[in-house]
Amino acid sequence: MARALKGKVAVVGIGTAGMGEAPGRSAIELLAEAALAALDDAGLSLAEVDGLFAATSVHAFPTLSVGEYLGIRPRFFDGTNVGGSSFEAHLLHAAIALEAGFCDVALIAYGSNQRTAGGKFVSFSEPYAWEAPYKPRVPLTAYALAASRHMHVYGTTREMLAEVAVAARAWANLNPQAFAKGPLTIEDVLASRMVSDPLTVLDCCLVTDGAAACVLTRADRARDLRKPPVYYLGAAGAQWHRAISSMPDLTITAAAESGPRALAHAGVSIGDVNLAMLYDAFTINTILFLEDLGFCPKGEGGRFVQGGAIAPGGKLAVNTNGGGLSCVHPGMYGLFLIVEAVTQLRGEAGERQVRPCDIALVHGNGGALSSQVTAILGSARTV
Amino acid sequence: MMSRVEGIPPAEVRIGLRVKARIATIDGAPQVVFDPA
Repeated sequence: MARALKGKVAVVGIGTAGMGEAPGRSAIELLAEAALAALDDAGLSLAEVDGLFAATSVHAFPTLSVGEYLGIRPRFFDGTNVGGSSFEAHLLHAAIALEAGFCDVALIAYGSNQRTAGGKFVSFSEPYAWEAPYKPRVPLTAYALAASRHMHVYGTTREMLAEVAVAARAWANLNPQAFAKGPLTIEDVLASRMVSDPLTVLDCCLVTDGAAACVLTRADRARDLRKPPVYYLGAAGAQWHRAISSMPDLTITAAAESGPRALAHAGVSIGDVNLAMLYDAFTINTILFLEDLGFCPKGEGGRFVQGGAIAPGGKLAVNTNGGGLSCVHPGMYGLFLIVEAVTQLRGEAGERQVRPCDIALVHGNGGALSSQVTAILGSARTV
Repeated sequence: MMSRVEGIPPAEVRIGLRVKARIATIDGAPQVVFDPA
């Protein structure tokens, strides 16, 4: 049934704003700049937006705040917040709403000024009663626990984790919009400041400002707009826990469920994927998702990434914008995954262009490895 | 469950370390922590 959505809607516009540092601009101001850029990219006007999808770290009622700021009155809206994976969920929900006729032009938008507003990770996540007394450094502690367990069970090493950061930096060095650039070695990562054993500061994502947006329409309209449509092929979400202490197994995420379901909806196999955009809040994420999504067997993620396998020129193109580790990570990063996938599928990625690039897997992560949402996007050749 | 191991430098805590539970008072409330066995 879910397969009925394949190719029925498309991303027709993308935009970003304030990538890296945007002093003096508020989160919603940045979000609006990205939204207008995405609409301009599509050749559509703000007045045509009748479906609004938003989640931020600073708005309790995001679609109300964003709708008011943009001056629009959407007839369909969704403020689902599952952390950084919210926007992959919005993509699925927008596809459903468009195909069912609840809206005709869907806007998904996000913005944050967390770097210049304070330089710290911004979250209004509630403290978890059974964890808070022990004062974990959230979210660092959660991901460090998963990394430690993976190292213990599968023999993954800190060098393997570091390889993920090094690959991300190599991609970032090819991306004019990336925030963190310059040479980076495995030794640099190992020698950087330990922040939550076994994760050093270079195993952790950036704290940046930034905003992103994308616009979707049904496929019949998409063909007549400014840019080549990037088609929605399938998506699925899965959630197995909220707090890290309730995670059934620290080495297996719900991506093991969302990935196969999304691929089935899209009617493609993991071997068909040209580009993997995996939410890399920490280096362990990429390893876990490569395994759980089926790019390699469980436990082999660390060995899979060795030798530059996910860096430019490697065997699998992963996080070609530089990822949350080296491109941008303004609190919730999921929408930037979609922006990069669309850029690549259009063939607009310049020096970092993946060839061929017809199918992209976009995987969002939220909370403490809690929410997992996988989406498959494709070029015109896939529908 | 989440807890923590006390009475040992953090760098010496290992998965598989034998520990013994103890009821400690944290911020005025009873909580389970562990010491090396």
